[in-house]
Amino acid sequence: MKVLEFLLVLVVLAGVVAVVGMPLRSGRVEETERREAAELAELEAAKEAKYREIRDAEMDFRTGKLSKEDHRALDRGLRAEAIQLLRRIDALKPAEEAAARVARSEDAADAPSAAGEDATDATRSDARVG
Amino acid sequence: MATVGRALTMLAFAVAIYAIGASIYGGVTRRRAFVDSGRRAIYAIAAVLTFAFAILEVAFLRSDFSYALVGSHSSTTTPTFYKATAVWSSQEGSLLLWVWLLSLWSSLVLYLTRRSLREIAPYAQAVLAGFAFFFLLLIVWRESPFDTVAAVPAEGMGLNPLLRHPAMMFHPPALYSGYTLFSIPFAFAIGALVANRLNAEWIQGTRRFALAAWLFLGIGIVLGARWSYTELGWGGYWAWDPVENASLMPWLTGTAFIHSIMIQEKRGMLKVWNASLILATGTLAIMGTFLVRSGILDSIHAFGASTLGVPFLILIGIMILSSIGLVVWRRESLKSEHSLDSLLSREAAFILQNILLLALCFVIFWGTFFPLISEAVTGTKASVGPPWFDRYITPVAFALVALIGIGPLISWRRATAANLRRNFVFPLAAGVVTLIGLSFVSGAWEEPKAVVFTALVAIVLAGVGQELFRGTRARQAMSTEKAPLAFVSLIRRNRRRYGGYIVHAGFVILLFGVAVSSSFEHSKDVALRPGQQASIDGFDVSYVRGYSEALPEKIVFGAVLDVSKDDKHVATLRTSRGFYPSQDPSLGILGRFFQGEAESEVGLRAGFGRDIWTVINPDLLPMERDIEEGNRVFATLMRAALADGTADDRELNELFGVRDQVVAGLTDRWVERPWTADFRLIVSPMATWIWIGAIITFCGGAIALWPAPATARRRVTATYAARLARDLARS
Repeated sequence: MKVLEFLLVLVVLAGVVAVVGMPLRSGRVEETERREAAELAELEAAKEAKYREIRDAEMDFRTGKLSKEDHRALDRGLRAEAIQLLRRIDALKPAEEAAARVARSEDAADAPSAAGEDATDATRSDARVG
Repeated sequence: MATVGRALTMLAFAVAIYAIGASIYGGVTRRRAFVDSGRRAIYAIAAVLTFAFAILEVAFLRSDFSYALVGSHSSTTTPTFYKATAVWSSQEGSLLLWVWLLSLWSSLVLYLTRRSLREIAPYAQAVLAGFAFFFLLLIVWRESPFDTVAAVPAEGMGLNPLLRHPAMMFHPPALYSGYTLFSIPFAFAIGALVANRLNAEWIQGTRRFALAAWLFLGIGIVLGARWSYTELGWGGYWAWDPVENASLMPWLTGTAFIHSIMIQEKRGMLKVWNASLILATGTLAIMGTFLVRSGILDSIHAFGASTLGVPFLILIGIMILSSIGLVVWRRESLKSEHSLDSLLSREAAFILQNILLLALCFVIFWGTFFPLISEAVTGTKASVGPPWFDRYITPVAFALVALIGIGPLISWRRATAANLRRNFVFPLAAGVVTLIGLSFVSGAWEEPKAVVFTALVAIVLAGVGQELFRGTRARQAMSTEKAPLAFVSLIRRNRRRYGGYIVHAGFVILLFGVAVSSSFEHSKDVALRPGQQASIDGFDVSYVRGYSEALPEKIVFGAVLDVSKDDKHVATLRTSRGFYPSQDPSLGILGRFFQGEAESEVGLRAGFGRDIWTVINPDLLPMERDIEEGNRVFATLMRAALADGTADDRELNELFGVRDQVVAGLTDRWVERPWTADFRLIVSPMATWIWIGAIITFCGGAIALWPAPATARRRVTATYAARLARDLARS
């Protein structure tokens, strides 16, 4: 029984070492993070927040919490800010796309998430705008 | 398997150390492989601890008393349901539950954010692994749940009777899920401060986890209150007990955080406030665990003494100092991008609401730690009771409910007089109508505060109703949907907004239940014999008959009461008190059955109008002489049987059989020759609305938490992108 328990712990230990060590064994140890990717993520977050603000302003207008004039002025300002964000995202995109290709190959072992797919779709549609 | 369990916790401890090192190294050198390896280390901790937790659960379910923990917290007579929950009734088991839940939630958030927050994540990983390290350190070196005993007992001590309640199955996991989930936004806030990425990105990445923490902690708090109401036998649901307060404080600051992050997301404001708020919430969550586990404050909820005060204090000290240090270091980056446009705006309402929530938290903190503060200053441990809390909490609660009413109706940035008129006329009218309506309710104005509070609740509910109605109409205008479908679509497409409104409605209903039940409650302690009756708030309560049970697990003394009003039957209540056999031999062979730990079964008739609540406290003094006599007789018989050394198992079993018959006979006397019993009777109006309000609140929270449908999100994004493209072409 003791031997079996020892073997069981050994198996778990081997599994842990395999899972944890996998990224270090695949020749990626010297790769460094791209600053563009982080900046792009930040801009995407800001863009999503801006879109949410535009949608909320629309809902506020439709439920009577904003007059037509106020909504128009607010909406115009928010859209201008959103466009600025889209421009900055597009400026960063070529560099990031190259990085994303590398990242995709790195993450091949992980299943794609719904959120990731959404983000990709959103980026695609935004790219058309720019 | 105890050895395997112990080895697994040691392995998890070692992996946690690796995760801290790999994550920090990867973050500093920007080497992605090390960050990924650190993330996977946290997945590995979750997997290893799941295995360890399963081993412990199986040991409890199999009543394997070779584990010291199983022997001291379970028994063969403990029902299976409670055997499974007994794992977290102990300090060792609850520490394992804490770190297991932490590892699961950490793995989930790190998996979901593995392609985003790439500069913040390494440091957040390190913080999460740091928490795991701390708890595993305690488990491995101080409080191992896998300790074994050399001499395996035939029977365990059993589960604390007070913990034998269905709510206890879910209360600790819910509470600990709340605590551990709050450590996620805490960790990402630390990561954002270290990496100097302080815009809304980290908030968006972890907002859902903060909301989940708020939801789980809230569920845990309400389950605890329900347990108190139906199990503890004092008639209340909240006693401002230190452990209750410990869970409420992070919930309050978490509520403030969930609201104020909206301002940062929308306006880039309150960055320093939000960072400080979540750092405080994370620290308070650890403090909650500390208060339960340290034993520094007297509490009805602190089950078992502890020696973990010092390690927890060290952790809390590190968290506070590093939080302050990081906020000061990054003060330039935490400056607001915009300023407040108007005091008549939703931002201003949110800020005021935040201040009130923090004021509440401060009052509760002061009241909770007053015994320690007074001891430090005067040398005498003095505590403050519910009246002290009520004096300060009540006015703040009034202001908070008023703000809950105002917040959803007022616009962002600036509200005009016309908008205010349009949005506030109906809710205010509802408030006035409620006030007038309550004038016709007999006795309502004896408690003017409760009446005014009810009017405020009406304002909030009318405001939420108005929002839902207008939103549905707006949805109908945009589509061809009929009203019911438009209503569902509205909520489905704006889950955060309308989920939040439903939370508001549920929460004020809960507070309404609290205000009315506490203001108009009638309570009476009476002593009754079968056939006698007492009156309370117009109800006649008759003690119909007693009943008793001598079960292997416990002895029960109960009573059946009939409740009537104006000679009409209203309810039949059954209440009992169960006594669990003690393992203390000094109580005597019979005495240990009647003088062990006890738990109450409350008699409750819950209704939308009022709860009728009762609990019995049987006086066992009339049996005392017979029990002592029985102790003497059985002690003599046992001595005789064991002294000559010839007694075999059969003889001893016969003796135990006679003992059980005598215990059953003594128990039956409660029915055959009944004597007076003490009862507490309570009539509590609207108390049921506390639980209904809580359910609505948590349903709203779940709606707000649920991810928006992916297709809808894509479509909306594309729609706005097209609009923006047209604007772009015009400019």
